[in-house]
Amino acid sequence: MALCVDASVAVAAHLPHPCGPAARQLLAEALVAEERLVAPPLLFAETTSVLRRHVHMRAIEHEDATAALDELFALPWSIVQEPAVYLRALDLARRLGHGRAYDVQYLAVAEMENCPVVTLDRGLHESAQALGIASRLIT
Amino acid sequence: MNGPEGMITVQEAARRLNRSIEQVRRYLRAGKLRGRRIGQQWFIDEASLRIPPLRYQTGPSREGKLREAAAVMEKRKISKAEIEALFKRIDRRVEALRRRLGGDVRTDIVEMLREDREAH
Repeated sequence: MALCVDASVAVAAHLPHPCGPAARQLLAEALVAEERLVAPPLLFAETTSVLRRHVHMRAIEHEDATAALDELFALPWSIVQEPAVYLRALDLARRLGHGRAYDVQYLAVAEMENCPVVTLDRGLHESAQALGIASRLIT
Repeated sequence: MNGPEGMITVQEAARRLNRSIEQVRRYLRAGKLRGRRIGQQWFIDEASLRIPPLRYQTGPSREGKLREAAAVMEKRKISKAEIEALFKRIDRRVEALRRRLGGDVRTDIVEMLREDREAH
């Protein structure tokens, strides 16, 4: 079994954020239950960018972002990087009528791994539901 | 039995790869091929035959330092003690940051992601 984690959860888990404790608990419980944390490669790019934006707006220091990213990489992520992810994302975006194919990459991985996706993003959560993909929304 | 679009039977995958059916099943179990079970039958994602899948995992090395991403096919085991230690470390750092900031960050992470995606 696996849990597909999007960047919103990854960032919240590594910063003082109202959803942080729930995000960390979910990740820890999944790993203790020997579930894999899966994601598309986009996870690291998006997490890095959002952490950088926190630094740029002076919400945190550069060293805080570095430490958060270090700890993110310390977790045993299974990054699914293969053409099928992007082909599936393209198809899911078409089915949802989305003009872009970023967040659907998480849905593609969740579908391929036959596992739920976890997110803070209500829009992604609703997209997953519309596609019949299990989803957990952290609020 | 015909599979969904883009999916082929295990037998067909074995033929194309010039491998035995059992070998294809082993590839499936190892995650080297992607597949989906429909009813009683497994189907292979055709795209996973064309280009070898690349998976990499992150995590602490034996020295406890950040491990560089490396192509691995097998599932990495992490002990419960390691997991607890990792999350204790994260909790400590986040709590220290919270104290320094005087509370949680007041940012909308979801909106930031949305802006990033729209900017590309």
